[in-house]
Amino acid sequence: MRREVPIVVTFVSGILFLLDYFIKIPYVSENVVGQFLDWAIIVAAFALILGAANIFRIHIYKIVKGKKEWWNSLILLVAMLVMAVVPIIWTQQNAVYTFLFKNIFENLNGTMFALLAFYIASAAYRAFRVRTKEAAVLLVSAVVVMLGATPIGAKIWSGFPEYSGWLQTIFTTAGMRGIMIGASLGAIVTALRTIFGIDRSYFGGQ
Amino acid sequence: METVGIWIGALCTLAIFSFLLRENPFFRTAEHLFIGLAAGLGIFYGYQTIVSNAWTPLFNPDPGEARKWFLIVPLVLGVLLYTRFLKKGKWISRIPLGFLVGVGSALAIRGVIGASFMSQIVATMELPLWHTMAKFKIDAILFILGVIGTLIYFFFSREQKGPLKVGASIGKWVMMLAFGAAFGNTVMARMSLLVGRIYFLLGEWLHIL
Repeated sequence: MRREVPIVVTFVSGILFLLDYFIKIPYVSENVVGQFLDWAIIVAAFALILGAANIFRIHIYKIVKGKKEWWNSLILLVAMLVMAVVPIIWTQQNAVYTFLFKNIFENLNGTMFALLAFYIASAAYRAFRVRTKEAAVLLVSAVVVMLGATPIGAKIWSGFPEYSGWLQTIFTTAGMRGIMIGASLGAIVTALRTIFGIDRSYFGGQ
Repeated sequence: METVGIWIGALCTLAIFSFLLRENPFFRTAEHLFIGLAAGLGIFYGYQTIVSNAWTPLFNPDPGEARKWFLIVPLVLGVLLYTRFLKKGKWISRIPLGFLVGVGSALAIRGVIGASFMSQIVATMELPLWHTMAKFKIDAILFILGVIGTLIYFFFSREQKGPLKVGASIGKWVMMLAFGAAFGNTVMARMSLLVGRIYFLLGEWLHIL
């Protein structure tokens, strides 16, 4: 019962939603299966709040037990509650929400991703040490694209922007298209394995 | 108030950048603040989705519109997700999870068949061979060879020798060029974000720029 019911639900919802793409059954397609995507969006919204509830549970525990750096947990919870409650009670145009979003969230978000610039530089150093022919091709391609996207590249040689575009139009698109076609087959097989209950890893270890 | 906001933003930016030196308490505080705000936003968007997509059409429909009784199903399924906090009823939360996974998998197949599989093949087959795609007359031939070569590279059902080896080799070089270009683009995107942050610190905060 504990294992079978969720597997049956996965199978029925998956197979009905998949068949609906190919066959339209009057009334059922429109009113039930056709609504599955909207239903999934609603359930996913509940899941989003569930994730936040889990974070809340973990950090309340840290505060109550006075764990190491418990004040960080307090900051997290206060930020979470204010950011959630303020737009729900008032609106997204509220001054507190706008202040938090514009001055704190946007800055933290942008900086977190900007931080990756340094790590990507370190990764580039390791990847581009020209030890093999493949690494040399990778390096040349990346350098041409980078120089093609910067004003200094065009100053060095006017052909950089042109060849950068050429590389991306022909080779990036061709390579990515080949990978995408292969990955699509893999995605279809994986999805079918899940629908038919062969792959049950999403249930977790219990 | 605007000055206070810029100062807070600058301190948050510096706290995150301090991670480049080493992991430190300022970074951890900024990190917790970021996660808190992001989770709060998640709650708000989740709430908004539930209210506008389920609650209002079911319990408070617009005048002249019929109640959508079917929406009781996703509301019940959503609530069932929270049974994972119960000791004995934990398994019930797998039912809505099964629904999400089932619909998600079917949606993946529906999306992939059309956009990522058939359309890509058709678009490649429809290319006129002697056609200037970007720069040279043989561009279309290079493109088609690149796609076929990449596919052959991942074809493991037969030992790669003879024509298969040649095809796989073409695929390998095309992918190297593609990965290099993709890497270059990623570097440029991250760099533009970094430039944005530095511009914020030196311009809006310190007024040097």
